[in-house]
Amino acid sequence: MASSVSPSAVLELVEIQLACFLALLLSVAALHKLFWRSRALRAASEMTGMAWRSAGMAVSLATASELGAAGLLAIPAYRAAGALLAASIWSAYFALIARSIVIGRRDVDCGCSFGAAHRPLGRFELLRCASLSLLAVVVAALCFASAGRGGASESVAGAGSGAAMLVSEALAAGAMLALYAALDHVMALGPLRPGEIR
Amino acid sequence: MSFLIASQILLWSAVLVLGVVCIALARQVGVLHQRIAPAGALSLRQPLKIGDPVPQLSLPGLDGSTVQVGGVRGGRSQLVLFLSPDCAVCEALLPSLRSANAAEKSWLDIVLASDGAGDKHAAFVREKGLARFPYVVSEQLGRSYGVSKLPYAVLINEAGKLSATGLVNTREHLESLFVAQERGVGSIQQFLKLRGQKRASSGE
Repeated sequence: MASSVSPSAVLELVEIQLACFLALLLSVAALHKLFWRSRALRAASEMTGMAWRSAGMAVSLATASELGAAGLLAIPAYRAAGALLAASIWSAYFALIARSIVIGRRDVDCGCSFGAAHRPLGRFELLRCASLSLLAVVVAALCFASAGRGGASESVAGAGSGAAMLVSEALAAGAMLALYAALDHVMALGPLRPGEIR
Repeated sequence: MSFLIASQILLWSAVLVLGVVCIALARQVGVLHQRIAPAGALSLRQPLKIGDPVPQLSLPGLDGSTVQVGGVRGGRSQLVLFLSPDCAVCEALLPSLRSANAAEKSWLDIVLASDGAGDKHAAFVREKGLARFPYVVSEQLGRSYGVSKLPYAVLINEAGKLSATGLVNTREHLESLFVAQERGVGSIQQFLKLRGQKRASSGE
């Protein structure tokens, strides 16, 4: 590695790239709820037991929260707040999925898959929410650590030009989202024999 | 532009391409899942029809115990596998049988059945480590199910009715009986026929 790049610059780069990925994922999730509103409404109604009208309000609140968290994550000064909001959103989803599993409603379509098909709720859905929540907490922790060192801009500025940084962030977020979508597609594949993969 | 940013751009570009390739592959696998026909056990002509109650028989097991075949058995299904110590295909199927026994033990009991001299079967059980399975030697049992070729399996559901039967040469054939029961069809042939009718009616 070139001697001009400090470890703090690498950490800040990781923070920015993870934040961009989370922001992109939250934006896509919010758009998904907007475009496939009936699926989101059914998921909210079945998972919370709410009436259709209340479920509509819950979906609107979730969409607004996701867009808000994505926006905050994109602004360096509010990134920590955005990350904490994102962590709380995924924690809430984790709790709803866990509740559905506990009460024996594994068949509910949680709407958390980008594809039309859905698999029964299980460990993978819980692990996914927990991982995303943890990732958001990591971003918040990196933000606080960066603030403690005196801000991100100085050390990252030494690592590259603004345009190159922007390209790197966009590519990283896009690549992580592509990997996430690939995993989503693979897990949505039904086993050739139902019950073969648990 | 520093070395760090340049390498980041290159590596993330590669990861992006990799992610897109993975998505394309996963979609192709999904399409294949929908298109391929499942390989299933070949259902032969038999005296009992799918859905018929299976006569309850109490037969002596090889270890001296009494083995109940058929009938209602406390909400559990029963798979009767007909085999022979002289049948090479039956021997090749045994690892799959052990694996299926472990995977399906929550709802299924497996009974092995054969006919002929008892000594040969005792040696077969000992040699192949089949002591965990009830093993009956009964010509009457084979005749009542119309078994003419080996290895042949009969799946009896929890209500004591014939759920699926067929010639089983591989694990896929064996599992097709379980799928037939889960999907409520008698055989893979019936499943394919129903699927063809469904596609024709939907204009696919």
